[in-house]
Formats: sequence, C-alpha cells, structure tokens
Amino acid sequence: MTDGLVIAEHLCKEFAGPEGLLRVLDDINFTVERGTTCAIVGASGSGKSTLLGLLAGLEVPSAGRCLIGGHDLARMDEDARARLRNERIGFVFQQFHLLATLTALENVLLPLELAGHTGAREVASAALARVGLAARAGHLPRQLSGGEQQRVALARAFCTNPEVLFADEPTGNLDTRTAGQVMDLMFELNREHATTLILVTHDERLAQRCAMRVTLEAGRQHPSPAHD
Amino acid sequence: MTDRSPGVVGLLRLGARALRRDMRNPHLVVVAVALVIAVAGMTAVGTFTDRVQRALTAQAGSLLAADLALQSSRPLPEDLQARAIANGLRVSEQVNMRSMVSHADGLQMVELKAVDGAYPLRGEVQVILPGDTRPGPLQAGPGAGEVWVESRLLGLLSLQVGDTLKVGAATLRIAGVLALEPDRAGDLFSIAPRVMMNLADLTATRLILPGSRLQYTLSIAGPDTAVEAFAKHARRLARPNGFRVVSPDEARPEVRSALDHARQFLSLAALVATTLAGLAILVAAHSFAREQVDTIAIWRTLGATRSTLGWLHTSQVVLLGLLASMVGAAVGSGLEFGLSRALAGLVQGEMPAGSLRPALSGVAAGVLALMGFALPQLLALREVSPARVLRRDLPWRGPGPGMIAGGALAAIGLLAPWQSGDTQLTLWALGGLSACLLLLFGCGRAALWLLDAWLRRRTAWWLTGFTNLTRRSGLVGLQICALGMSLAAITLLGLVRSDLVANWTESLPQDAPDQFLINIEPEEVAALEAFLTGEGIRLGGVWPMVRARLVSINDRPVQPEDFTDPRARRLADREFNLSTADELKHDNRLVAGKFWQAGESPAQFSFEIEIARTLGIELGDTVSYRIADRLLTGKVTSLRAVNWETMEANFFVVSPPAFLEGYPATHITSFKLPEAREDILKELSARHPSVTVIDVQALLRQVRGVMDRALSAIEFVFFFTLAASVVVVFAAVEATHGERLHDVTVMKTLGATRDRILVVTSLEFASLGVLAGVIGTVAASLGAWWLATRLLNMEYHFNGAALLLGAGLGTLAVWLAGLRAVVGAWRQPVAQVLREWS
Repeated sequence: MTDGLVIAEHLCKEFAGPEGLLRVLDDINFTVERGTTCAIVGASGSGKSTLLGLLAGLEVPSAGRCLIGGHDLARMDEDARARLRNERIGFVFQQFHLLATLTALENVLLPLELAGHTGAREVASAALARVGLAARAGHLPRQLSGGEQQRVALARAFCTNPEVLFADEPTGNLDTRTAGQVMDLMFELNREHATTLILVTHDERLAQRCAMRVTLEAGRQHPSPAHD
Repeated sequence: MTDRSPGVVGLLRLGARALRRDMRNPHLVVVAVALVIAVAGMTAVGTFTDRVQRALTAQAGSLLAADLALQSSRPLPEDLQARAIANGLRVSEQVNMRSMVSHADGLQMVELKAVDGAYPLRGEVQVILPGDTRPGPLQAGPGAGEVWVESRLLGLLSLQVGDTLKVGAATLRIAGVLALEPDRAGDLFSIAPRVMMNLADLTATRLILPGSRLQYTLSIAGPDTAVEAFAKHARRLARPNGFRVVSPDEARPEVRSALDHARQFLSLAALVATTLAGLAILVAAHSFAREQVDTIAIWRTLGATRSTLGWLHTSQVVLLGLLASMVGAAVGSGLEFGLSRALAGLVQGEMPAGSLRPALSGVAAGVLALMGFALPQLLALREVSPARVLRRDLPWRGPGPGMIAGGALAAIGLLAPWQSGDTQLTLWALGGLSACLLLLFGCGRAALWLLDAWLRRRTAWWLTGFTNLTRRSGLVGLQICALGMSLAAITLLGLVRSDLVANWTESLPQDAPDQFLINIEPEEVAALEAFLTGEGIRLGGVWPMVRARLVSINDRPVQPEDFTDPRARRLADREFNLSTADELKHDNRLVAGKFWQAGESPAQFSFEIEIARTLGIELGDTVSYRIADRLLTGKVTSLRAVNWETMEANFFVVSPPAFLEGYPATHITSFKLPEAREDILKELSARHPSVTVIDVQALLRQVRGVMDRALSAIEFVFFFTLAASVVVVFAAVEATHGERLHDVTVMKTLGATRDRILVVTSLEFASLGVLAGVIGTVAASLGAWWLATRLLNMEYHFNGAALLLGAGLGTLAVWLAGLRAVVGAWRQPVAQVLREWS
C-alpha cells in the first residue's frame, strides 16, 4: 500500500494567450509518498513552476486533479486552500519572497500568527536559531545576504511543521558555495521534520539528492516518473 | 498548537506591525500626507467657516439688535425673561406702538419705541447729539425723561433738539436726532417718523390702554449654545402663548438672502475641500495597492485567507486614518489660529473662539474619507492570486471603476451632509460629482483611444510620452479623473465665486436707491417726476400702492386663526399693498406660470413665491381682496422670486395696471440722492408737503457692510481651498513616482539625453494636463451654470476667460509637477535604481 501524500492525476493547465488557449501542462501523473523527496526538472519554459503551483494549490488545474493528503485542491475554495497551505505546506522560493518591510523574526512569525499559534514568538525565535540567524532576528531582508535571506525563508517554511515543503529553484539566486550550504540545511531540516520535499530545479546535483524525479519537456512528462 | 485564525487581537497586531513597517513606503507616505493635508484643510476650513458663520450671524444679530427676539401683541410671559437671565443670557425689553405726539399746536403720528437701559444688545444706535454735526454710535437708548427723534419729525413739527415733545400724558425732552437704529427691520416703509424713548417713562405717558395696538419685544443675547437652547424652548411656547420668535436670519430678507448665499458658498467650499482630499487619497492608495500585489501574493501563499486580508486592511486603514487625521486636525487648528490672527479685522469685531467640534469632525471625516477612497482598492488585493509568487506576469485586475467610484461616492455621500449641513446641496453635489466622474471617465477613455489609434501609424522617439499615456490607460484614466475632478472643483468654485460677487455687486450697485418717497397722490406724480428729473435725478419708476385686505382664497374666507404659521396669521390680519406692473421687473424672476401680456384679461395676480407659500396660495387659485367696500377678485397666474437685495421697491402682490384702475391709490418711488444734495429733499418737502421721504442711506451702508464682510470670508475660504487643491494635483502626479523613476532610468541607460527625456515627459504631462483641464473645465462650466441657475437662484454669466484660465493653469500645474518628478528621477544613479527595481 502506497502512502501518497501528493498525487497528480491527469493534470492539465491552459492559459489564454494572444493566439487562443495555450496548454502549458498536459496529462501529468505521479504520486509523491510521505517523507520522500521529489525533484521536478526540465528546461526553462517546460512548465516546472506551473506544476509546482498546481501541486501547492497556488493555482487550479484546467483538467485533472491534484490531491494533498487526500484533499482535492480543485474542489476547495480559495480560502480553504489558503488554510491548507498555512497548516500543511511550506514554501521556499528562488527570490526568497521575504516581506521587505518586516524583520527576519517578523517574517518567520507571519505564518504562525496567521494560524493563531500560541507562543508564536518563541517558536519563530527557535526556528531562526536553528538556521543560525538568532543574531540577525531584528534585521530587515535588505540587510541580509542572499544566503541569509534563504535561511530565513527556510526557518519560515519549517516553523509550522509542514507535511510538505515546496521549493522553487531554492539555490537559483545563490553562489555555488552558499547554494551548497543552503541545500544541506534544507535537507537536514527535511529529515528532522520528516517533511515531504518537492523541489523544482535546474541543478542536476540537487536533483540527484532527491529520491524521485519528474522530468518535463514542453509541458509533458518524460518519460515517466523515475525513482532513484 | 494552532487556533487556525489570528483572532481580532492578532489581526490588529498584524495590521499595526504591517502599517508601522509600511510607513516607509513612499505611496503610503503620500496617502498619509494627503490625509494630513486633507484633514488639516477640512479642520481649518471647518473651524474658520464655523467662526466666520458665527461672526456673520452676530453681524446679522446687530440688525436685530440681539441674537434672538420674542415679539407679541401682549406682554410676554415673565418667566421667559427670568429663564433667559438664569441661563446667563442678557435681555432687553422694548415696546413699540403707533401714537400721536405734539408740540405747541402741531400734532404728528409717530412710530413710538420705548427701550430699556440694556438696549441695544447687539449693534449700535447712531444719534446726533447736541453740538455734533454727524451721527455718533451709542450702545444705549435715551435716558429717562428724554427722547430721540428722526430728523423729519423736527421738520414736521418745527422742532429743535432741546425742545420738549408731548408723548401721551408725558412731556419729554428731545435729546438727540436718531440717525440709525439697528433693528429698524420690517418698518422700512412705515409712514410715521420714529420717536425713541426710555421704557421707564412709558407708564407716565398713559398710552397703554385696553385695545392699544402694541408690540412687546424681549431681546436676547449671549453665548451661541445658550441662545440656541433658549430659542428651542421659546419656540415650543410661542404658539400657545401667542408670540413669535425672530432670529437674525429672519430680521430682513435682503440681508438673509446675502447670508444664505454666503453660507451656501462656504458649504460648497468645505465640500470641495473634502472631495479634493479624497481624490488625493484615491490616487495614492491606488499606487500603494499596485505596489502591494507581490507582498499580498506572499501573504496568501503563507495561508492568509481573504477575510484575514480584508480585516487586516480595514484595521490598517482605521489606524492610519486615526493617526494621520489627528496630526491633520492639529495642523489645521494651528493653521486656522495663525490665519485668523493674520486676518484679524476680516470680520468686524472679535471673531468668536473656535470650538473643538471642527477638529473632531475633521478626524472622523478623515477616517471616513480614507475608508471610502482607499479601502476599496486595498480590499481588491484580496483577489491577488498566490501563484504570483511563481509568475509575476499573472494579472491583478485591481478594483473596477465601479468599485472605486462607489467607494468615493459613498464617502462623499456621508461626508457631504456632515461638512455642508445642507441635504439638498449634498444630493445635488453627489449627482454632480457622479456626472463629472462619468464625463471625465468617458471622455478620458475616448481621448486615449483616439491617441492610441493615431500612434499606431507613427514611430518617433518623442512619441514615447504619448505612448506612456495609452499603454497605461488604466492608471492614466484614473489620473485624468482625479486631476480633472480637481481642476473642475477649483474652476467651479472660482466661477461660482465670480457669479456670487457679480450678483451681489449688481444687486446692490453703488447707485442703488437710498431715498424712498411714499404717500404720493396720483395728481402729484407728474409734478414730482418733473421736479426730480429737473434736478438731474433718474427715477427707477413710480408704482401705485392700493391698500387691500385678503378676504378669500378660492371662495374660502380667510381668517387669521386658519393659519398655524404666525407670519401667515399676521398677513391675514393686515392690509397688503397691492401694486401694478406692465412687465416683470428686472429684479423679479418668474418661478411658475406666465406673466401677463398686453390685451389679456386684467383680473390677474402675480404673487411673490414666499408669501404665496406662507398663505398656501398656489398657481391658478382665485383670490379676493377687499378695498374699502369693494371686492377685487382675480386669478393667480404667476409666482415670482424677488431679489430683495436690490433695495428697490418691490411688492408681494402685483396685478395688471387696468385691474386696479379706479381704486384709491398712493404712489411710491425711489432714487439715489446725489452727494451733498440734501437741498433737493428740503425743496421736495416744501413743494409736496404730503409726500413722506424715507432716507435709507445708513441702512444701505449697514447692508453693504455685512455683504463686504461675507465676501471677504468667501475670498479667504476660496483661496485656502485653492491652495489645498494645488497640493492635491502635485500629490496625484507624485503618486506615479515609481513608474517615472523606472522609465527615466531605462531611457538614461539606453542613452537618452536629459533634454530628450524632458521633451518626452513634457509631452506626456502636458497632454495629461490638457486632457484633464479641458474635460474638467467643461464639467465645471456645466456645474456652475446649474448651481447658479438652479441652486443659488442667480443669473449665470458664461465666463470663457475663467475657463481658459482654469484649463491653462491646470495644464501648467500638472506639467510642472511632472517635470519636478522627472528631474528628481534623473538625478538618481542608474545602477542603484536598477538594483532596487530587480
């Protein structure tokens, strides 16, 4: 019996373009089991980020369905998906997506406070300390280096103990050395929290660290999900 | 452990923190500054308007010699006076009656007025005392045993100051010549000259007998709130006790009319200030919301629901509104304090102290304005797709025009009655604003569409400025609406102000008549006209006056007790002066029906609209008057509005000349006496001894004084609003600072010189200014026409020069503000801007 936490079934996504509907994802099918790691790889424009958005409930598919923990995301309304993201999902992005006007600690606090978490400040402080940034808690994102910003993003992603972490090119904006450090930290945290990790990457070394790989070519899955 | 929602306290904490951090955002700073300016403006205008209005009311109070007067044909209830005194009010008693006075063998009917020592409570009496050649102001009545008399009584009874006058059983000494009394209100055309005496001597005259026709007056003056409370109490008692309550506004129609217009204009100015504030907030909030899209996408990704975001933004708006409004109210109060000190003397005498109400009202209005103008745009952020964290090209539509306009109109709808205190003005202003917005939106869209069509066939570097307009049509459309509304508001205010000034100047010109001749017998008319014409005097006209009593309306007998309104009761109980007219006088305006033409049946009446309303008379009614023992019956075929401000002789009821032929009539005329030609009056009295001359020079001076001061107040409020609106225009242009900085940096990077950038941006901003200016001034012109003709009852003067000036100055202001932004952007280092932008 499989323990499929994230399931894609016949996923399709179309966008309206100047020349009519443009299909950017076509019939994607795979299952990511709880506690495993999955890399979505492909060339630029192959639909990797769109697929991540569908899996995380940031967008809804044009056809097919996507389930997280048995919940069909397309059948939930936008607010229900938001609550699901808050409770069960963590995110890390290439552009870090920290709120520029909030300090490192306040950025980590935000998902906890949105969840009405009691003792949020202590949890956020501990999360920051775990990524080695306790001393930088009061700094604004622009006062932090790229690597530090991504570590804050990791603290924010893991502080709610998510079941699944979605990472979109998490090392894309970092130099090789820093990228390596951030990756090590992400995989460490992933193990500590027993989180399911789904990441989009161009980086072959990073993809190789994942247990499973989904390769996209021009919006199609190729050839089929591979398990390393 | 999670509770799955941040809760109210959590939301407030999140909102406060986000606000604290966002206060560094330039757009939010603009929102806050705009709100501070707006509330400062509202508070300053509100406070000043409040003080000026109270000062003007006090000015008008001097026309009543009090803040309030209670009048009755019977002695007024004593407890009223006691209550007034107990409430900290000053009181004065007077008794008016018509009586005969004598000196030697001469007898004369006079208007006798007995005043106590407190008279007048407001204003001053002007008296020529022995040894003086000119009247001097006194704030008291004559002493016991003395009288002051009008100069014509001296002539009529061959008296001199110092002589004695027999008033009833008392003999009193003439101590001065009465030149002006502040409350010579509705008695302007009273036939008999005035004699003023001390109330203490009234008993000795033995004139108060059963059946005597007396008017008892209790005058009241004091702090506004106490007077208002007393007036409310008195009005409750008025009907059962048979007295009437007269406020300064009711004292004289010509002054009331001037004050009404002044108040309407000040209300309009306050409304314009509010609208301009909203426009600035709207534009800046729009820019802020656009900039927040990516941030909100992150919030949504992290699990913020739409309701969480809605409450979060609401709490931010309320907090920001409170903070900025409190600062604005403090600034406004300080500004008003400084301005009223700088403009000391604008209003005669001491300006009343400012109250806290305008400042509190300003804070509340600020929060409300922010909610109406900014909240719809922030609430639209709830619809931002969280997928923008992955794809920034995902569109965010933002609030639709309906949502923006709906919020703005709702805010104005709530704020306007509050600011203006005039429901009718509010409703019409809302209608006007909506129409103006539609006009600006429609014309703006059409102009951008045409410009886009024209640009499609052309390419040149200098056309980039125009392209910027068409490619950002949504934002530019909003800018056109905001700038156009702002220019329309300023121009409208300017046009109405010009109309108001022109109307007053025309209605009370320097050659307004200051002498009235009454009791002219028909056979004297020709000789009198010949004499005055011979003296180089131009008569405005000679009108017959026939004394008549209203006996029935539509065959229903008229009884004073049929009416509840005290004024209607009085009118039903007294004789009217009917007059005739061949055509509508220049200071009369037809409101309903049709004015008669030559050859029509003469049995027609034309009623002044207010008197018709008071008596319940409508167009088409059949009205009968009794003149001596004859009955005169005719149909009401027209209703007129009379401009009482002209000071010319006017009549409540007129008919075709043929209708009153054969009825006993005297005539009335008026003229302006040339300076230093009092000899004409002496000669006239000698030639026509039965004609009564009424000199209203002093009264005219008094009315002009009130109007001049009202005008000064209006000028001040207008210029304050004008200054505020200029700031709003600059704030609107500054709101696109981010886009401007980006565009200029990219152009610089691509090698554009400063001159070329200036040409491009000049074309862009000048076009924006022209579009907004032309559409805005057209809207203003339509609005001014409507306001003047429908609301303010004034003649509309098309003012092409003012419109051109408005459009030109608007264009210049937008262009200058745009250039300023561009020059600032030019100075920014390219690398820094691009780094921050990425």
